[in-house]
Amino acid sequence: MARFILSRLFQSLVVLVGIYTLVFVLMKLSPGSPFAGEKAVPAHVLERMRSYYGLDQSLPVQWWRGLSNYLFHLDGGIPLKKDGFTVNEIIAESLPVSALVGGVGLLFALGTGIPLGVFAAARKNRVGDYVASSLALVGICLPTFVIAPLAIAWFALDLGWFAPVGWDDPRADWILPSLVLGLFYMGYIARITRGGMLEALNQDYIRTALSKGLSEGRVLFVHALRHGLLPLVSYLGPATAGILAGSFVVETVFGLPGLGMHTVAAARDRDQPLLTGSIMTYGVLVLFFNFLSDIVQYWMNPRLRGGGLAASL
Amino acid sequence: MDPAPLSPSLPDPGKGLPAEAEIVQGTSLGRDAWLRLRKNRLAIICLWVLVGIVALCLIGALLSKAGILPDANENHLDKKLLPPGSGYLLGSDALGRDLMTRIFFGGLVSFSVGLVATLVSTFIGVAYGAVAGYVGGRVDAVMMRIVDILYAMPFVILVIVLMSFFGSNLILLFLAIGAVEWLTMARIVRGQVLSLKKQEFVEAAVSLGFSHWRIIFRHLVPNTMGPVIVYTTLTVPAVMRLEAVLSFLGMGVQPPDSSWGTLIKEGADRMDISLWLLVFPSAIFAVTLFCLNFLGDGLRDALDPKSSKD
Amino acid sequence: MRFLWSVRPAGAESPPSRGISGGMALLVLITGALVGCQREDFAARCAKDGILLLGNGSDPKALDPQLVASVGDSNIMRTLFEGLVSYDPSDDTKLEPGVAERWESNDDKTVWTFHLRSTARWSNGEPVTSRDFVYTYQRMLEPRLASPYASMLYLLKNGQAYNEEKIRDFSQVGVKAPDDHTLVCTLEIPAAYFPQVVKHTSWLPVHGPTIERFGSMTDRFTLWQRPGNHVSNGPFQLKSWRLSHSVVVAKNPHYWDAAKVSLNEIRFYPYETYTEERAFRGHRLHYTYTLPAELIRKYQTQSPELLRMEPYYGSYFFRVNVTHPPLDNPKVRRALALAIDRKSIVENITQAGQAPATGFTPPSEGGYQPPDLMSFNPAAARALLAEAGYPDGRDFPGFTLLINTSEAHRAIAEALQDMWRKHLGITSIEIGNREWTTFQSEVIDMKYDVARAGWIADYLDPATFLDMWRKGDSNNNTGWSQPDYDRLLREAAVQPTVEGRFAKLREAEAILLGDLPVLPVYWYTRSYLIRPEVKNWNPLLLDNHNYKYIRLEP
Repeated sequence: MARFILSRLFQSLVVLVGIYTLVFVLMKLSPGSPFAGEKAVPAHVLERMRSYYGLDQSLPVQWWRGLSNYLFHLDGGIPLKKDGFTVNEIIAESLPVSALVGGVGLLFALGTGIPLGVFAAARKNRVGDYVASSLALVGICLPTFVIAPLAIAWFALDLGWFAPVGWDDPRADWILPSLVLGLFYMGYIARITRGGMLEALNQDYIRTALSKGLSEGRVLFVHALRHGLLPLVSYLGPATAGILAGSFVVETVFGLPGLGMHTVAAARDRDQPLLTGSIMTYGVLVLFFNFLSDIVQYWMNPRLRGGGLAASL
Repeated sequence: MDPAPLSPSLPDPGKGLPAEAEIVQGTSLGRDAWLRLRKNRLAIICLWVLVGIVALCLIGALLSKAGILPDANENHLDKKLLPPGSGYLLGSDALGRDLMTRIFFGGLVSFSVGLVATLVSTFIGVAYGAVAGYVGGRVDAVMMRIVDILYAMPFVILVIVLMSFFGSNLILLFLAIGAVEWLTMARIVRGQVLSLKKQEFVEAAVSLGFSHWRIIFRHLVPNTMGPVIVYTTLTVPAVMRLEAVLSFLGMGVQPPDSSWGTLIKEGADRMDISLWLLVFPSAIFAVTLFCLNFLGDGLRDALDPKSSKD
Repeated sequence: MRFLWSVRPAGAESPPSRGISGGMALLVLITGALVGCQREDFAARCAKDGILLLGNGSDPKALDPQLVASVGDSNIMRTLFEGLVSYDPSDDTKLEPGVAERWESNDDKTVWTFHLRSTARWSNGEPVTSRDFVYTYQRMLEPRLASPYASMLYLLKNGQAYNEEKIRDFSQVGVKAPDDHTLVCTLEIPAAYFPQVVKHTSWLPVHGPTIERFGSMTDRFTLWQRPGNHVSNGPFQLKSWRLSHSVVVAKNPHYWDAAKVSLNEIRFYPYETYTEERAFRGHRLHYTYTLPAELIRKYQTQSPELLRMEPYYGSYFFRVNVTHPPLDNPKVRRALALAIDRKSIVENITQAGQAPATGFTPPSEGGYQPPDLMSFNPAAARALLAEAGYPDGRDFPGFTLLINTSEAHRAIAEALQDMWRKHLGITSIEIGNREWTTFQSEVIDMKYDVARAGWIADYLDPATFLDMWRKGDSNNNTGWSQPDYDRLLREAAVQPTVEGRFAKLREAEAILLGDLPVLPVYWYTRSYLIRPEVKNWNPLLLDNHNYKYIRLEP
């Protein structure tokens, strides 16, 4: 097990270098300059700016300088478009916001999505299934940029339960954005759970269990769930990383100081250090949760255990 | 060529056999599935609704081209933001254009993007995930770490770069969307294959000397169809949503043309004063996605070899 | 609670699972949080406490007057810093003494002497001296700082040469401090409008010792901009700065005129347009930075007392790349310009009371009036297009109308496309939609045919609109130049009288409007929402408010 984790850690390091390089190449290929504005900046000033940020060096030197700062100092450098904060500070400030909203949203999505999916599978092709599935689909069929303003209009502006925007009241300001974000993931989770459960209920051992007269609930939740959640676990690895790293739409509509907003702004502004920093953060999340998801899959799937962990993963 | 014996059936390895037999005899599978699908009333209704929506969009677009319905892009600034009914069946937009014909034309874009990009990403995802899961070991590790790298790829920047090299066109739109949407599919299929390949019928196929390709695509992939179909139907809304984002970034549909995604975005910005601009595009979008999902459920059941025993 | 219950029954019917308990826990949390109900009027409470809540459009790039470039940033700068000359609360053309009590110039307006008040203080209590200004202007022109707005100081003698490293000795630049309270500026050219110019953000002073404590004069990124470190000389001082959250400034007790400052605190929020409108509706803001065009009608009918629409010193136009055929033909450009129904665009699309542009430079009351040369004349446009060889738009090769992504620009581009089709018969025009940075690079590299543009003046003078069309100006980007035009601008600069200068500028603008490397559309207005508690927020052509005069009356 230890050897397996070590090897996965090493792989992760290689992946992170890959991610860094990918972002580097894409940014160098993208048109436009981070220093251009509506009003032109004189050429000699532009040149000075480029040299201040080290953008006048050769590409391999730039590549290595940024990478070595990550590898040896865990330092993302300074952004090109925001002079007051380092990349590390921006991420340290904004990731907790996104992670709180995303984490609560994910809990909400799991807490409602899995029961909806299981219920729909148990009532397959009956009215209960259609009702549950339709409920689940609401969050998918209406884009977030529609649901979020509607939710604000009703729950914040009309009913006055929450602040319509902002991040000031630690008791309440995460609730509405979390629910809106969760509604979207709830749909996916419910649909995937339903599909997985149907597969599981078709397995011979479940049929056997049922024919032996074990209670339906027990079969459903003890035996079938374990197999039925497999596709969901595959999905949840990257989905968790995505949801924790922040949603641009939710953060913009709710005016939250989260990471998703910085990521998109950095891409728009061609702010390479900031974009690299936020994508690396997201990359670490992806690696971690995909790893976790692989472990959970292994643990949940009795068939995989025979070959040993390393062989199966 | 496939060097495997032509024998259509395998010695009975227990479970999984019906799928084998049916996949190999493609025609009977198709007919059986169709027969089963026809018994699912909701799925059939959804199918007809979908066909109806596509036909409506097509006919509407043709009628508009023929001059019978209003032009989708011609401005009538004196008739802007008219509510439904007053001269325009579904109202007019901020430039006095007929919302209904814009929905028809937008539907054609959204449908083609939705279907083509989804098929592309499904195909890549299934093939990639199945190979990774089946081969296993180092190859699997490398393939899945590549997936991890691609997960982290900043989509916005990828699109911007693609655009700067190739300009904005629809083929690129499919490519860009296909390039990001297959990743989760690959993970799901790989997970399934890892689990399936330990089962007896695969071992039987191996012992019969079937080629790896044949085992992967004839024996393993058909058995992952359930989750694949479910996730495919979930990919369609994701793809349509991405299309709206891309159009927003300047790729995909260029103004004055529209897609459902761009129409909904426009409507969302005006929901306080001109609610119909949000309601109609959202409604047809939502109905389409509902139908696709329920049709997907029906297909899943129909293609599931074991469902007949229910 | 309707919404929450609607998802519960499905979960409640199923046997319990780990997932459900998570959902239940969440519901409990939510109910708990709901007790702290948000119905109270936050903005009204803040008004009582003298706290002004402002929407400001975006995050500041920096809190350093030598490094900022955007309009939103300069709003924050004006609270924190005070220049030699400050802003009159109700009239942009007037001058309000700032750090300088009075000033005078020599007869040909090339040497300006500012007399600084002895009571001016930094927020750490130290006196503001003329040496601080010399330090600041050196920093601004220092090539290694690479200030994006350094060119604003090229008016100083040898300013440009120093910034371009043609001279290395700053004592040759035209700014001197003979004593602590006198500042002498020597200019490149005569400039009667110089006191207007020094109001601009790029001329605001910084505290040298503070800058040097956290780095060198030319460091762009140091900790001096942090709350606690930041030292400024304006009516307010920095209290907190949270990225994507807010910038808070509080009354500066050391400010020389602190008795006149009415507000205790100003908070700047970076909300996006639709978000800030909702924030305003939800009583979280006293003022929105802007209001999207499609919401104007709603406020006009429902609560006109909250809505303001005021002229703004800016011009909305399209650049034409005159090196790309068929746009290299002035007749084609003229035909395109004449076929734009500007009145219809401002009445039906932008809807915020903008004025259809009859020239390029916006008129200013009692100041410069542009020549009245733009009109909507489809018949003349058709005739010109036929003369150019494209009768009824036949065989017109077509071009791309480039815009950056925005609902407002898209609507205008779609309207232009439709007008040119209707009035000129041109069906081959496409709209190219680009995200902002790509858009800019295509304009700068002149890889466009016709591109949307907007220009907001830095200071109240027509030169800010006309200088950019000189040959080789880095804002030109159209490939157009005209020796007569450049000559007239040069002559205008040395005219002894304002009238003479304006006459030359008008002549130059007539050349511009005859040749049309630009297609003017409208002159800006600013539309925004403001609560009645905010007093003394007057319409200003440049929208540069002097925050020390703003009051809140709950």
